[in-house]
Amino acid sequence: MHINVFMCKKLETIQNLLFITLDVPVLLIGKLTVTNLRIIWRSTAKPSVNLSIGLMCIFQIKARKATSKLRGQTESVYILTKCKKTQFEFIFTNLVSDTPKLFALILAVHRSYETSKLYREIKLRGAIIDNQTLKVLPLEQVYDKINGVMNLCSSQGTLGTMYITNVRVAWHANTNEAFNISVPYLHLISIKMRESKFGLALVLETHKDTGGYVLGFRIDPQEKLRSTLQQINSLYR
Amino acid sequence: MSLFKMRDWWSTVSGYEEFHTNGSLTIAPVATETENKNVIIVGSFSSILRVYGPTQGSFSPDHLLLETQLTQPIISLGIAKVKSTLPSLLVVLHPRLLVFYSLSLNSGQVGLTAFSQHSLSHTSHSMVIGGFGKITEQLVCVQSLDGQLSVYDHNSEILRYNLPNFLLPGPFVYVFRTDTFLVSSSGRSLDAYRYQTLSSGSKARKSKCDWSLLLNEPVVDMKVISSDGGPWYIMVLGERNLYCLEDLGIVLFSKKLESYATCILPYKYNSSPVPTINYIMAGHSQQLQVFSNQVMVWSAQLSHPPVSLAVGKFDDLDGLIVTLDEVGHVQCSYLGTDPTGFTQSIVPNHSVSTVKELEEELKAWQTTIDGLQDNDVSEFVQEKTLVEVIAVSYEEPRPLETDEGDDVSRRCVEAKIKIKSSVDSVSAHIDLALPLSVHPSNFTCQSGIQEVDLTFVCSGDLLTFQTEAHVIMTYLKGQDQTHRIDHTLSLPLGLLCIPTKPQDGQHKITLDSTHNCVSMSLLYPYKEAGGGEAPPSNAVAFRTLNGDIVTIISSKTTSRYRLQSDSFPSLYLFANDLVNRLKKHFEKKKDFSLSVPGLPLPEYFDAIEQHHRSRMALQQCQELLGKHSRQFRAIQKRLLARFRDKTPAGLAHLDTLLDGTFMQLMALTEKCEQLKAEEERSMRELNCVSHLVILLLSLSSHITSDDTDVLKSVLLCNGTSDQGWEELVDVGVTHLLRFNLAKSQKEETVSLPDLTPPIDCKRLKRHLALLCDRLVKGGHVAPSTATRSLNATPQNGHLPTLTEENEN
Repeated sequence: MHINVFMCKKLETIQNLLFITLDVPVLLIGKLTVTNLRIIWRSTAKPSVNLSIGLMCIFQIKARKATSKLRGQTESVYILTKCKKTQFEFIFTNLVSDTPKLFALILAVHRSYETSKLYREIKLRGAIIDNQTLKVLPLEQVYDKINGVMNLCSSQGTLGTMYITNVRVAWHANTNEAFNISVPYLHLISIKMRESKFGLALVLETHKDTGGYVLGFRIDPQEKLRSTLQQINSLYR
Repeated sequence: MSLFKMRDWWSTVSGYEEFHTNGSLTIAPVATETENKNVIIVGSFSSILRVYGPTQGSFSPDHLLLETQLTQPIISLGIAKVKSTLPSLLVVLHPRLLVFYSLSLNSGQVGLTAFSQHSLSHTSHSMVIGGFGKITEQLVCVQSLDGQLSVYDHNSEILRYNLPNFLLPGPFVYVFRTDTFLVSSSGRSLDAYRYQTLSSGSKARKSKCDWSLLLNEPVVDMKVISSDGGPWYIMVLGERNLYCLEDLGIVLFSKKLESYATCILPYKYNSSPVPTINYIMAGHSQQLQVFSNQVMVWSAQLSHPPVSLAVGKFDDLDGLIVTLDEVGHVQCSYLGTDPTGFTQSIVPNHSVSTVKELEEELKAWQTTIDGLQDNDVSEFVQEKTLVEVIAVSYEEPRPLETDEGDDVSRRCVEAKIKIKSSVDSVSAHIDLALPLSVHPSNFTCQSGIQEVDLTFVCSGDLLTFQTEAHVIMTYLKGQDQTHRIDHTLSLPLGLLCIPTKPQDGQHKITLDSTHNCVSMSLLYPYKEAGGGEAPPSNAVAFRTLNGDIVTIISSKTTSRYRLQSDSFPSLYLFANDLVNRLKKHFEKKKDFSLSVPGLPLPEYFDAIEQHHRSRMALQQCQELLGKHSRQFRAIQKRLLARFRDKTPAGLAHLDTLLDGTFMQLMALTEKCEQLKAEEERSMRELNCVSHLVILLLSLSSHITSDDTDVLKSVLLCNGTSDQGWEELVDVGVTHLLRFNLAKSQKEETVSLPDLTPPIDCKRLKRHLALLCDRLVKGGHVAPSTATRSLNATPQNGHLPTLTEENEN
């Protein structure tokens, strides 16, 4: 998952108020690194004390301004995170006053992460189709549009259209736009051809963290199926 | 901060940076092939409608049953049973459009089909669904931004009505029992309009409202509670108050809100045995509060401030609370009864060491530290050459020049100090005891040789007992290691006194020397330059700045020196100076030593007595001041009570009393200040005398410098307000007598005196006499030599009397 991680900004001497227990706040000084996937904080005194907050776990970011006698006007960022059933709150304060605004940076990174979910997450029945065409994401290129692709559900097949782009495979039913799926390559674990009760079918299997779906598509004729498989395979790599 | 938190059952984020309002959330039953299932419908201002079918656990992509982009922003959602034969329809209110959708669920797929739609001529604000006119089919009433109520059924528009005196739209509800619309108007009142009146009245005629209730605050949310038989209730949530009204406008109760609430949701009205109105309220405090009538029965913390609330049954679990916040966090949660104790997820895996291991570790660290300390010393020696005071030269001391001519009571001397430094930014500070001062007291040096001009000033108002100045130089080595070098400057005697004619003195100190006396003019060479006439060579005299004259005489025949003065404390400075000079003079002769025939203990005790007296006087004065101020406050209190009284009694001369007490207070305060100054002066004198006693003791051949240091630490202490010099010194001396100078086992059991101010100084004087006696007779007080003194004691024959003396 950590491909294409690039560093957005590295802020030195960030103080972290880490509430290890509810009563005793522990104040530690360290370095904060904000990347496009996570926020990393390392203590300067003890490198073994560190934090990695995935942007996905963040559900709220708040900033508070405080005037302290030691450092004057300071900005603290409260990051509320949720991991499974546990909630954590992290408080970062920038000790160097003339560095860029911590809050604005984290917020901007989080915002771009949240708005680019379609590049990374499976979407079922989403509003991705408009007037029988795929809504193209920024920097996305549609490589192929295949008509007459049948989605194979448990008992019946639905005729629809498949789009192959540089980030995902999308399909929607011709009769019902709302019946659609968008699978980014990031979530695919296997692409293969398999015999089913509807005949030879293209099978896309997704990662079990995101539901572990097995999607079957029938494309006629078989040559087209093979070429599609090859195309998806080459894009998947 | 609530102890309880809402337990998360299911949650998701509906869009990013899409905005929602009070009407954006609804729970709708959807018929599947087998059963009716509840779904959560969320519509945002970004005109996206989402349908969720939650199951317990975290969000998975197939919980989203439908996401569709509609043509206009969604203002409000509702469920209406427009015909008894049809299933319920989803009503979506857009700014200029009202659409009825039918919902269906087929194999996990929600179908949304537009049933009918009406375009609106006025921009809408909100809608209400109900059986207006007491019919079973449900109609929709839309309130527009300009105050028009329009009623629609699924086919057509039924009526329009313009509200009178309209300015801004607010929440509105429909009460079925009385067939009335309740509209919160911008006049901060609640107006009731009968549907009958609206439908019968023509557009031109402005019909009056049925009843009106003035609330005096804007309404945030309004909800209706239906009941069987009895009156219906309306919950009106204002900005500051919550009102519960009966359907005819009678206020049942109202409640003041602690924080701004955004939404309210009534549920489960019980009419028997007593009507109980249960409702949920939430707002910006992120608290979800459950009330039963006016009593709060539960409160739990939410993770977001909600704008809309709903309660529904999902996954066969009834009563789940669905909250929607402004930016689209949808959360299904329940009220857990256990407080959410913090569970620490990461426990550092420390193996518990045994005591032995820890001791070994401590030992290892100790050796490391010792090693470092040894290294440090050698480093320090090397570093000493980094910064160095190479030369100090003094000008001729002279009286201080002020604007009004020379100030006789103050003298100054100009000095040049040469500092050689091989590092940059050395900051130096000169430390001096009062009454000496220096300008500048702080300066910085750069690398290289640097000369700094200093002016030392001595004022005569206080007694001096120090002729040394400490130069403290600090510099940074490496990144952050601060290093410090001290240098002691001895100031010229001329700064502190001026030469004068020798005089006879009341107090005398005699020093015996092993060598013949040196001529005074040899010892005090610069004296000639300052003095007028040439004095006899065996006597010199100085007048200190506070007027005491000290004469030093060297005997022509015997090897004795004598210091004499009327003021005993002043002697110390010159005795110390003389001893230093003599030692310097006889530097090369190893057998040179000085001795004192007898210690000036009576003078010492006099100084102690005097200090004790002044201290006691100060203490008494302070106590008296305390009493008088108490009295002052008491009078003030009584006076205040009289003035506050509506029918005051006479002052009964309280004002005179207040005046008198105030005068007394002022006089006492002044006296206290005088006594305090006096106490400080006597303390200074006492310190001088203590210094002198230590100096004379240290002249004894066997007293080492360690002993002198111990004596200094015991005898030279400045008392604080609650712990004076006497008790501190008494404890110190008793301790020395008990442990370092004890003559027998019995003495070691003597308990230390407690630190209470003594009534008299008898005991202290006795102990001091004992201490001096034992020291003169060969005792040691330094810890390393104390054992020696213990071993040596049995040889001395005159111990029992002293031991007895110690008994008390």
